[in-house]
Amino acid sequence: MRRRLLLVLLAFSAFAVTAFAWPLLMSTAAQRTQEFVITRTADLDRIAAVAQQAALEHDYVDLRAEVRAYHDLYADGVIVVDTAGDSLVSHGLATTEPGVEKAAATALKNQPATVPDDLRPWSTDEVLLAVPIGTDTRVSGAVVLRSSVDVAAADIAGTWALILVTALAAAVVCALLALLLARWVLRPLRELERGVLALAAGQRDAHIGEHLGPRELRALAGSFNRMSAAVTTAAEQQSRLVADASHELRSPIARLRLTVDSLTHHLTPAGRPAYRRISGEVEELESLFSSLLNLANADRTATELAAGAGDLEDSCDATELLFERRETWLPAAEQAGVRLTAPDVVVPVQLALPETELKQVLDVAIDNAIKYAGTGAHVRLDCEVAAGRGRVAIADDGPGLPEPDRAVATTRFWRSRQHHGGTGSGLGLAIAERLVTARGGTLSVLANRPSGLVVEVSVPLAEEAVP
Amino acid sequence: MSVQQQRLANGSRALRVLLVEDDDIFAESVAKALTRLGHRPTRVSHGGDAVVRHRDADVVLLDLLLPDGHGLDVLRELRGVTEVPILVLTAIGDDRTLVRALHSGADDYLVKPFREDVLLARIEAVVRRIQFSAQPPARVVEVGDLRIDLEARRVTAGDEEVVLTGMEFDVLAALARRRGTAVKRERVLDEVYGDASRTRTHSLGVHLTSLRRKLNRPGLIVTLHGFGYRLEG
Repeated sequence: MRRRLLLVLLAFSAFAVTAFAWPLLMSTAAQRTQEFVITRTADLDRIAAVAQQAALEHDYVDLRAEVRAYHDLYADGVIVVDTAGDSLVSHGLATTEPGVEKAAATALKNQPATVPDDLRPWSTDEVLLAVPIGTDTRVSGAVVLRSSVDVAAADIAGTWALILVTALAAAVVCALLALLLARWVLRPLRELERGVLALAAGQRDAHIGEHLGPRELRALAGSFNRMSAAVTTAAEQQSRLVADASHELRSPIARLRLTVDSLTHHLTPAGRPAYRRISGEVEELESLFSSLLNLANADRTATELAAGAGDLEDSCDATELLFERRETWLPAAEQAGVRLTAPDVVVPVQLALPETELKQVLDVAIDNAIKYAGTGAHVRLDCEVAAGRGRVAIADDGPGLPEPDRAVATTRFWRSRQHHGGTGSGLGLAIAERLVTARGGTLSVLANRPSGLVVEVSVPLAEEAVP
Repeated sequence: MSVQQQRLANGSRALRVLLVEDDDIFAESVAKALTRLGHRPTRVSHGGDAVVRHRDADVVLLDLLLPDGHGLDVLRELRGVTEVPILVLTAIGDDRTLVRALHSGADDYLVKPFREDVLLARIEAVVRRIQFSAQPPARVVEVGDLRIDLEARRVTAGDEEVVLTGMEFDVLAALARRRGTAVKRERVLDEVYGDASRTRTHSLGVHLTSLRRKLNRPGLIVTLHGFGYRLEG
């Protein structure tokens, strides 16, 4: 928009300056040329008068003196011819020179002299002017003058230079005005764009200047600020809701959990199945609740990172964490009859992801793999540096998921139909994906060959680990 | 060995537990569970009371949200005056708070809600750990069938010797000397390399990983994410 606006404004000012300067140039040149012709013609008339007198008195002394004086003064060539076109008096000009005869002939016929073209600063040709001697009916000869245009051309050059410098100055002023105008109109728009981007990126209370540009845009900026404040308030309320829910819900669930646990010692055989069901429900409630909180926290971290807050310095070694997580999950894997293996080689893969976040991601994927790969399955944990990024993969050789399911596996509250009756919250992979994408990574659920599922995480390497 | 330590050693019965918790019903449930197992709980609802009464306790259970201030401040104040094991119980489940609790001197933490048996297991674990750290520094640390000879720089698992590199042994020794206690990553780095720069952090990870592989004792070295490590025992 800025380019187009400037283009239009500059084109317009260039046109205006040209439209003003061009006629001025033409008219000054024409004026100076006219002046040149008039003064020379006046001189010619004067010489013609002297010549007529001389012809009457047959005394050419005065005429000669006049012609010489004129030539000495102006360095212009003058020739006086009789009706036959023969030279009577001359100085600096001869009848043999080109154009002289023709000019004399025209004058002798009492035809109007050819007016020279308008002069230009670069004109160097000499101009021939001629007038008849005597009155209309009795022409007794002609005076031809060859005059240099140098002085007139220099005068025109001076005037033109002045006009062009003025036009250039006007053009510069116009360009500056155009720039200022564009800035005045566009600055509030740019400010608005910055605000919208900041708000979209999750920055809280993105505020823009309200005192820039035209009144309409100032009003728009004011509206934006009110909207931004409203969005920020909403986000803060949401964040506070998470914090409050965290405390307010954790406490009753914690009380419920302990109370249910204390019942174990007072159960009659008839009450045992109901007790087990309650205990199971409490467990599911706990897990769902903690998943929701994790998701809310992941969302909050993502928002903070997008707004440029948060700790970007954090990094962790994926290899170390894979070995450590394998040890932690080993008992669960053994219980499920699943073989859980760590990478074959120990090469550090330093990821730009905090340890606690990668741990959450790994736990989700390993937990799913152990739960759903089935007895006898092999779950491989692997990581490597590939194409300047860290790649962590949790692969199993279980039944896997069909393609449509893989595509939606990271959707919130999605649970596979194959595993209905499971206790999953359907939030695990959604949380993992949120954590990874917030750090500029990707999480994909892929098919393993010949069967099974791979959860692949690709994350930028920590800065100091990039070679 | 003192009378108190003896009692803790033989099955950890009858612990004096100081419960710092402002939620009455929750406190009551915890107290009942502890009493049932033969422990002797005392409950206070303010951090200030905890600072006054910690001397009569074998272990402190500390809630982080207290009516008279943040539990982390109470934690730091307690740590300034006592070595009593402190287990943080909290409804604030985010990693930052938990890591801060460890940095402030908590021995372990438990996020609400938790199961009764998990709570009791954690209490016994922190008390057992403190028991190890209360002992004078040993020449030989034994964990299960694993024998770490700190002076001879030898590690044996059962009858077989585990061959470790110098660095791997140094890392293991740094944890073994503080068996049962959370050791900050920076502390390990400082003891092994003499400095705790970021580049060193990376190679520490490598040594720990190969140490895990060679020892092959899952659960022996526990990672406290964002904080450091602990040698269980």
